[in-house]
Amino acid sequence: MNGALNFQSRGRQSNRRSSSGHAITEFAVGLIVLIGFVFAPLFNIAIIPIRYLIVEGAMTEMSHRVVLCEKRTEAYDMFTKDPWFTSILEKCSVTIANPKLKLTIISKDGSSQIAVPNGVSIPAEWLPDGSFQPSLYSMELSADCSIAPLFSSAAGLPGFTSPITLHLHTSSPWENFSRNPITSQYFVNE
Amino acid sequence: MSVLNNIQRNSKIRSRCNRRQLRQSSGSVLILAMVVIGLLAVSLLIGYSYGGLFFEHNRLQASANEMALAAARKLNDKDRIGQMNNMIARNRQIVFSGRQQLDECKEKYPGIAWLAEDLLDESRDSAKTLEAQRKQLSIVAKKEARLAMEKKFEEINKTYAMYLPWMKVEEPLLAGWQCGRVVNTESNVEVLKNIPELESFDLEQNYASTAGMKLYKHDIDAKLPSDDSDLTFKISALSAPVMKTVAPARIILNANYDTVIGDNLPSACRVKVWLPVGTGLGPNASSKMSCIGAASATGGSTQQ
Repeated sequence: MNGALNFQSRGRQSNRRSSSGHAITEFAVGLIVLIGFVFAPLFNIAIIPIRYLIVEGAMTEMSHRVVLCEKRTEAYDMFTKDPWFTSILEKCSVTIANPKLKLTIISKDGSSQIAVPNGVSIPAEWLPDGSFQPSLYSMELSADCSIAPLFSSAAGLPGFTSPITLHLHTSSPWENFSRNPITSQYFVNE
Repeated sequence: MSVLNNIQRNSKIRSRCNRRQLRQSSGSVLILAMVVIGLLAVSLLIGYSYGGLFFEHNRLQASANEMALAAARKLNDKDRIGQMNNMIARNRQIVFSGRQQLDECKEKYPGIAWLAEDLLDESRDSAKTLEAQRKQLSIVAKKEARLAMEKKFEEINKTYAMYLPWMKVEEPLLAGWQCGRVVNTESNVEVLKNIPELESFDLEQNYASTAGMKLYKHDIDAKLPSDDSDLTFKISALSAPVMKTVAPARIILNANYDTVIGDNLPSACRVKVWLPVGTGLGPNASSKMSCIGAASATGGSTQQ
């Protein structure tokens, strides 16, 4: 009787030990597979759209700020000297390369357009009282943005283990169409 | 027999337990996978929502700009500020000219001096009336600008509220507004050229800018010499028409906004709005997003 009871209790113990251990082993493997091959890569990739949205927002904000300047030269100055743009993107692990700001004028019917870079005057026919009027004046901001995933290294698959580089551009319409009373020139041409 | 029965019962129990445990252990991985994927989805959703706050800020900035522009447009509605500046400058010229005529009549034609005196008194009375009207215009323009700004605010503030379990965005609040001017902008009035003595007096008193168009400076009280120095001729800041180009109303950088000196007429507006935002999950934190929008009024029109 005693022997039967001992056998019973031993059976229960071994059963409990082996089944729980089996679950832990299975659980650990499952967890590693899940975290290593599903969770981490997904999280790694999922941060890129969030950062992309932030970059897009920052670029839109910057292009909107520069068009509020009085003169076009002030807009270029703000773009090159204002630390806000680069600092906010650095905080989001986004590296900016080849940032460019240019004035684009498009005739209202869209048939012709001209790009005016920094330091170049607008041709007379494209001025607000020129022959190509009415036209749309906008400041276009473009840059190559390297958006890093959450865990990244220098080399590897872009977007998964290394930053993905996107060429982004935003534009905002120029605001100040008045003339400078000192020079009689349009502020957009100064 | 009883021992055998016990053994059989035990083996049945054990096999049942094993089956149950197998079922449980395989099910636990599936449940775990579902939980992890669910957590991932929720964390991403929360992440995107907070990323959306950046866009809320941009939107709030656009709303503040719109409100400031609506107010600024109203300030110089139908060129009332530009016309007031021009009327003041011309009235000043008439008073100066009237004083010259009276002095000349007293010296050369004393018989008609009374007529010159009447003309001078009339122009002086006009100056006083204009000053009263200028003050009235300041009140009316500010009041109408405020109404336009509040109307715009009412149009936009209902579109902001968003209540998510992890994030709350309330309706924006109007934190304040101001009327002022744009920096580096003089008045819209050119120094009048018909009376050389007055022109040289103005330049001597530093009432006018010397570069480019000779415009009266912003926010000055262009006092006349001697007997007419008791009169007030306040000329306010407003973008001047240059080569028949009238400056349109526009949004400006907050850094380019400045306050007006004394009770001069305003030509720009600045609006500050707040957007209360808060977190719902975890620690309950709340904060206010703040945006300032500034805009310049339409410039003065060309005078006939």
